[in-house]
Amino acid sequence: MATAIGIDLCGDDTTVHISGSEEAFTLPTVICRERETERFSVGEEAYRRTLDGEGVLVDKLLRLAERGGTATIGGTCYKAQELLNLFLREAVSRVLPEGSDVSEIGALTVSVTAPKGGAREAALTAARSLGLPADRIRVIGHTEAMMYYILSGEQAFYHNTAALYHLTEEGLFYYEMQLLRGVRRVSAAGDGMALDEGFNLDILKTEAGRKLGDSILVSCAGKLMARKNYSAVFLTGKGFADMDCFPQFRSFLCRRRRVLSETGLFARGASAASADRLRGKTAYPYVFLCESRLPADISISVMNRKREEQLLLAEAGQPWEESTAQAELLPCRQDYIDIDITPANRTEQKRTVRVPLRGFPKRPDRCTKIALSVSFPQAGTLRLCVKDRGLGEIFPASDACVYEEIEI
Amino acid sequence: MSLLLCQKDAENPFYSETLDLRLWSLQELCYVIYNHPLLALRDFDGNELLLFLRKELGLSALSDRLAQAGKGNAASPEEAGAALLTALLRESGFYTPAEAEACRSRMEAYQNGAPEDREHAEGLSLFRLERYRLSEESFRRELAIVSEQARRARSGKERDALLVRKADICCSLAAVRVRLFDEAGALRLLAEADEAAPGERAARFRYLLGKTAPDDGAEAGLTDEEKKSLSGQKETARQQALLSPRYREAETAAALPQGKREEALGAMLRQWKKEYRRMK
Repeated sequence: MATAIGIDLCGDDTTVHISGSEEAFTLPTVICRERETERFSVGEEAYRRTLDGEGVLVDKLLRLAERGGTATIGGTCYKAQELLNLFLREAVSRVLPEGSDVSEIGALTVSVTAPKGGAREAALTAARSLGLPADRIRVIGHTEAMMYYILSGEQAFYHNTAALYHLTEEGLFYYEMQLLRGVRRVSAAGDGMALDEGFNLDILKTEAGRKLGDSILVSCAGKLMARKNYSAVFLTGKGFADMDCFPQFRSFLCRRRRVLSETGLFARGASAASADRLRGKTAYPYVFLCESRLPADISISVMNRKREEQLLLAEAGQPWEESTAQAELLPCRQDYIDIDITPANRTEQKRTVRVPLRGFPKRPDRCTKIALSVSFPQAGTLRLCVKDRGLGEIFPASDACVYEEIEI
Repeated sequence: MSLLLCQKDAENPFYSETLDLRLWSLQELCYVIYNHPLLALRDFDGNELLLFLRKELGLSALSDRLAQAGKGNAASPEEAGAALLTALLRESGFYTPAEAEACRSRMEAYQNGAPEDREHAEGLSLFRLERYRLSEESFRRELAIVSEQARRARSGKERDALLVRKADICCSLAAVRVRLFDEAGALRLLAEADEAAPGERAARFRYLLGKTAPDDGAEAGLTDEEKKSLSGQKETARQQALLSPRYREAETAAALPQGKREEALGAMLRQWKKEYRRMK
């Protein structure tokens, strides 16, 4: 049976979880190369070898790869991406059951803090270096991983709003998720943010530091959670490993709601996402609205054999990087395309963006077929490409093309 | 104003021999039917068309409906063909019902017209599509019919009218020859036109071709004023030719980098040669 794996790739620690297993495997995101030979070790072993003086350690792997950096070890210059690839391969091989190999992975989902720009690319490249087909790999954000985790649990956890605090060396993060029931299709909306109040975990080593940390968390929670009804609050990250450090925060949270602490929550959420992709029918029949999903339906009004209909090019809630569409159209007495953007949430109104077909050859009416393709180079940006197809051999196609990027 | 959704193109096209075009989609078929109804009627085989719709474009339901429409109350195969083509225009959604009806009227007028008029209309359509060989064939058929009618004419008036028409057809044939740079052939046809009924058209034609000299007597019937006017027309035609799509196509091709230029000009030349070689 194909394996579904979730990986939470972070700057300090990486967690790998196989769907269905109890334990999640966490290791520091570091790699070490032996001084004399080209042998690599990762995680705790990498630290040990470095302390023993056997090798050279490279940490902050994800950030280094994100910036296209390099590391020179033993006179050899390595691209950070190569080291990240090696790290990920090693991390995955440690959780795979004995006797099985990477090719048996049916779906792999990697979660990163913010799934955009360099971090997303670095994670995707590392995942692809495992040799899996592209359709088995997805990179999602922490918000989406959190949503999968919560939705895979008891319904009581997300009857009202569910919140998540994530405290790590990298900072303090807050996430929320709620189901939107009064809309066209039931949607799960998630959002997350890094809080400015984040603190270094080293302060928790002293009594005074723990008190300070506790009061910071209570202050944040007071501001963030006022005037809302929460079904459950989740805590994750190295900072919440010992909740005795934050007695006031704990008592604030434990008022008329459930509070749950989980290790490797994002990796578990990512593995739930992987497992869902292996199913014939999704176990989460919601429109996901978060940073790694499309916030709106993208459509155009067309005539299909004398009937007017709305041609859906991209659907709200779909992963933006996977959402592409093509259509061939024949403009009738018009030299523009109207793109309808219909937000999935209730707060925004539907809007129409007009794209003029500039630079197209002048031909009789209904003699210029256009090939329309839609893609999303990043979350929230629609890229439209309209090419002149002419009309077969009667009016040969020209090189005319219109590119437009629209903020959704 | 609307955007019409197109189906995917066929893997194997529907070939129109008359137009020398491969048609890959329903829109292209409809374009040809609407803009060249006479040729579509002559060229499109109903069964092949229905097979193309069903097998290549995956439009089985439409094909079945059209088959029914084609059978309808048609009195002749030609009428059935017209009914089928009009139904296709109407059902495709690319043309409005009014446009489909207008097309049907054109087809009916064509079917009910005299054979020589049909040949003439076909010849003109083919000429505009640069299908010179077929255009010449149509004009030749028209010429044969009109010549026969002139031979059998009962009155001198009727005969004269038919000879004027014959001269006109000869001029049309000369125009076809000129398009293929066969000026000698064109001049022979203009002489035939003069023989049938000396007229202004042939004289003007000859003058515009520049094959007359002040002392060869070929300018007979043209006054100085007419000659001046024709010279003006010739210059206008030259200017218009510089703006014609065909000239622009050649100009664009000539401006391409070497490899592509040869390829593009070669394609134009091959098309011309294909027409030329087929000429009798």
